[in-house]
Amino acid sequence: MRIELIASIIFFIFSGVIFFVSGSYSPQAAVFPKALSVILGILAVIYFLQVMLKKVVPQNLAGYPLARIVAFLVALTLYFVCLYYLGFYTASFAYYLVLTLGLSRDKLNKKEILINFCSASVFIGILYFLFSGLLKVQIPSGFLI
Amino acid sequence: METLQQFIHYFPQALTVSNLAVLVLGTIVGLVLGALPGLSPTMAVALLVPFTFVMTPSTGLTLLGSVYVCAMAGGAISAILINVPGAPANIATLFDGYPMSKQGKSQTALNMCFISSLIGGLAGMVAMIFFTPPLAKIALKFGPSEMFWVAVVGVTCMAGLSTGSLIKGLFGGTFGLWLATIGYSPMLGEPRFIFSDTLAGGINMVAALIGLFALPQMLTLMEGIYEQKKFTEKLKPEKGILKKNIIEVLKMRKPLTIGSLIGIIIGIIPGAGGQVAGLIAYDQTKRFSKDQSKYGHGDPRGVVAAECANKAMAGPSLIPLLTLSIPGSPTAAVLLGGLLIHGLFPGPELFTEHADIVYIFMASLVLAQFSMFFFGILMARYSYGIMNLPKRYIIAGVVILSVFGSYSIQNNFNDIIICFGIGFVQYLFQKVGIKGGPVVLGLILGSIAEGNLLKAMLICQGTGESYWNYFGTGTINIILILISVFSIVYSLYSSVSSSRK
Repeated sequence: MRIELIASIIFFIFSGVIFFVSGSYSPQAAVFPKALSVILGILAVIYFLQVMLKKVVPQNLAGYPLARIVAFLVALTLYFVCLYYLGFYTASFAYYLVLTLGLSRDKLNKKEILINFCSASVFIGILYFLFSGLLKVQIPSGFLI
Repeated sequence: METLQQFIHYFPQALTVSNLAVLVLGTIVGLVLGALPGLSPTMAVALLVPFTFVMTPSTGLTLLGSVYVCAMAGGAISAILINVPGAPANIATLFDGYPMSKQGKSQTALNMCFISSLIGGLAGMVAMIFFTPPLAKIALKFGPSEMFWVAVVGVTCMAGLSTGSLIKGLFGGTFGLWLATIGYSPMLGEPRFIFSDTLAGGINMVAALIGLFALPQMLTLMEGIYEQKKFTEKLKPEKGILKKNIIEVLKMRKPLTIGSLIGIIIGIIPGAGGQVAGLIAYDQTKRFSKDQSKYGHGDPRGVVAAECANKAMAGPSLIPLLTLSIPGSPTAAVLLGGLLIHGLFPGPELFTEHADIVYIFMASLVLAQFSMFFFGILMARYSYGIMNLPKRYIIAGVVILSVFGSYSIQNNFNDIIICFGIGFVQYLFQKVGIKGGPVVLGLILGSIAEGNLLKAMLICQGTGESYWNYFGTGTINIILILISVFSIVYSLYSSVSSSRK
């Protein structure tokens, strides 16, 4: 029940922020966002009441793998940083390899590393052929490729 | 008849080498991505939108259309073989498909699935070809007030019909409408909600589409990364089984007729989607059957009705999209994104100024039905290899493709941040039951709603007519308001009746 309650409060605050920020725009530019903020506010209040009256089925978050999700998001952030400095292919190769090795269930040994290294090489090789060879599209570039 | 003549006139242009090559590629990619549990057809189409930038509009739309048609068919493979629907549209398929598989009739179930998909898909295409141009002509009569109500109808229908909760659906839709206001106002040029430089260009639709449908799914896959059902049986087709199955399916006239009709009707209603079509068709076929006891225990009629219906809705779901910019399903919403980035705006002009592109697109959708049937049956034999692919490879691959897709739209790093930012917000939304469909529809319809609202207000100020009179009178306005109210009332009624049960 707690997560729904928190969500309804966040939604209400969010609608208030939109309403408040819309006030700084010209009347014509503000009319649509203000109307939306009022609708969002009303929906947030109804949602809150539904939660309080136990009309909402509570989401079951028992056994949620928080550590795994946080690790994934950290890896994603590092990938974006590497993308900016190293370039698309190098960063993507490193990300693919780290993610597949990190999420492997088996014990890391030479064979496992080699399989994932080959898999990353083939995948990035196909992307290189497709994007830079065939389609000739621009991709994020850094000091490497 | 004029529509049919136009269709026949442009049909040969869909048969160019490049279009056919892209059609085959789209079919294979669609079937593979559809067969992978956890990847939805919507995400498959969203990931491929950026690939169409380097193609001509007709070739690009051929790619998206073939993926759109085939990903749903691919989803039936995992539903039948491992009891996990590849897409929500395949839920009804597993009721009888999986029991058939357990009885050692996997090949028969898969063959019947693709045969009924072909029949249902073609029925839906016929409806689309005949109904779309006349409806587009009706759209000529729409002024700003009607277009404003069209946008409202789109959001309320999607919110009411596609999600479990009306309040959550409406919240998602309204949030999507607000997302569309970020950036410089297209009519007034005034900056709004630009909290950081990243948002200065507004929310790019394709980046948002990829984020909304790819990242939440990858995070959900991460949650259950070590839970994967394995399929070990290698399919060895019996000689002559396909011919036998074709004759059997053609004899099942009742499931085919019910499936096709329900699919077509559901397809036209915005937001209902293939899941609703499949479930209603399954239920109705069962109800009209003399021996209902076999359903749920491996009755091929259940597979035929469900698959026929969810493919029959694919074509008609494009009717409101091509005429009024209202997508019939979340996947159709992504297709709309594909149309818009090629400078094609739905409405009557689409059929006059870009008739070649639209009719080639329609022709490619018809061809995609045949390629889906051919490659589907061929690939089903090797599907165990696809379905057993470890999830970690899928996650890594999809994240990298999402980065490429969001960057390549404008060669802008900010779009990657927007894509993943919106994706993360949507993931949190999903945790409280707000689905992506209404959000994306709100995002697409936001500029239509606001632009026409402002135009209508200016007209009222100029003519001295009251807002109430301008927005609330006129046959089309009243019909659209009634549809919107009906979708809300119906959704409330069904949630109240289901809670009583």
